[in-house]
Amino acid sequence: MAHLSVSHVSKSFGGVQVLVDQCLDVREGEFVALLGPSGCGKSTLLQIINGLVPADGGKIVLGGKDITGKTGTGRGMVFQGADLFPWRTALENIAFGLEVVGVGKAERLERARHYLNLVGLRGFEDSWPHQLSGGMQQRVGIARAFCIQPTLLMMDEPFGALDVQTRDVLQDELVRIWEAEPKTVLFVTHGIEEALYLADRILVYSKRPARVLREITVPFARPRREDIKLDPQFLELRRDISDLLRHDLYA
Amino acid sequence: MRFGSRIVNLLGILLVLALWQAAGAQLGDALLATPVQVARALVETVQTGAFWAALWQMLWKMMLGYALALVIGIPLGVAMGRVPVVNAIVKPWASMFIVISAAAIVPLFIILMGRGLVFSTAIVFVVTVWYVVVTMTEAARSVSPKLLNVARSFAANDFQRFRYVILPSLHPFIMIAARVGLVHALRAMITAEMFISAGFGGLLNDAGLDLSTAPLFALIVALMIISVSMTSALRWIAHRSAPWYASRTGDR
Repeated sequence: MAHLSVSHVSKSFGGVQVLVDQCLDVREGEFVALLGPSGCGKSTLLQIINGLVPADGGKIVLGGKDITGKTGTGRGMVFQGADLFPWRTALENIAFGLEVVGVGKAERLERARHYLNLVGLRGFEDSWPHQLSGGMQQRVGIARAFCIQPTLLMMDEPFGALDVQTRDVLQDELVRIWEAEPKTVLFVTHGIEEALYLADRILVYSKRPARVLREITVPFARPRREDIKLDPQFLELRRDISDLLRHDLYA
Repeated sequence: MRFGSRIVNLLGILLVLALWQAAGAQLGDALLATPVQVARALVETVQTGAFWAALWQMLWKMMLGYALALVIGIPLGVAMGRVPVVNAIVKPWASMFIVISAAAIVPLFIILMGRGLVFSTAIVFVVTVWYVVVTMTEAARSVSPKLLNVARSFAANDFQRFRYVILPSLHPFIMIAARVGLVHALRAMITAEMFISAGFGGLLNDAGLDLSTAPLFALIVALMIISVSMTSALRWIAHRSAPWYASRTGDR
């Protein structure tokens, strides 16, 4: 049975249809990229799964439990701009989710420290978010989501606001962390290369209202390293997806 | 850099004092006492018991109205910033009352309430509360919806969102409202006391009748010192209690 099952989800904002009858099944431990043009509705789908935005219809089941319209319960979210709390230090930001569910201070800070070290921020425990670079802030954002040990990790264009070098480094970091603590991942992006490099499966979405143009099972074995980005098969897939999106955009 | 700007500060003050000294020497102390004469008068003034009694009386009475303005103004401002209905009801009154100076309403309040504690507390409250309200309305409006969403996505309930997101983002603005409010409270209190010739305002009235302007300037300087030390104390508390904000805004 699928770990995450999204069935017949629809959503419109003020008469504009964003999602029509969307279905999606994700296996336990699978890394799925939702790829599509900006504003197509893939982020909205993620927010509906996260429970932040109510769907007009449809049902979301995670690990056998109906979680439609509810937040929390097994899901961790990494936001586009990190969105850290400026009044909390890096460590306190990571511990936030545990504080909400009532974990005691000593224990939650100890667990947060583990994830702070995991994302390579040892020594920055007591830094304020504004003292960290964009890349470091997003590391904290990733650690904050991992710290509640979710079974489903959701990432909404997490590296979209970063420069190319930082993005490449963080992609590798994410893979490393994810291999250390495997979990189901939904990764929203508009970067084709990013999706191919990270995901087991890619859903290519059309422009609004979003529907799946094509489903691609990424053929590369793990662990993957930077050099697969130059593999002929990688480049070919990349061009295929690019053509697919371009045709849809001007169709 | 900070050391350099301190020196420029000091030079600016010295320059003005020098000009003042020169002008005072020309005009004579009946019109404009020199800084040296004022300093001498200040030393004399602070040695009298009447000065301290008047100061004490003014401060504790002011504190009543000021505290009331904070206790009522902060929640009211936050409610206005977060709840459109409250804003629609209170906003017109806030924008009308905020322009009223203490001097304009003192006579009316004397007729209504006499010259006692109720009167001074009411004046300070009415003048101060709207500044607190306006500051807090803006603060409550600027609470980041994104961060509220983050809290929601981590399953924080209403109370937790208030406790972990709204309250911390309001905190620095509460301290700013306290500082802005204090200055207005102090001014309102002095004005009220000048009308009824009591306390510190009464001392100012008396000094105004003196042949020399030195005692009057001495009282004004004392008032400035009090105001600056109180707002500095509040600023220090703000920096200690919200270090993230102080460090982000460059610790000024």
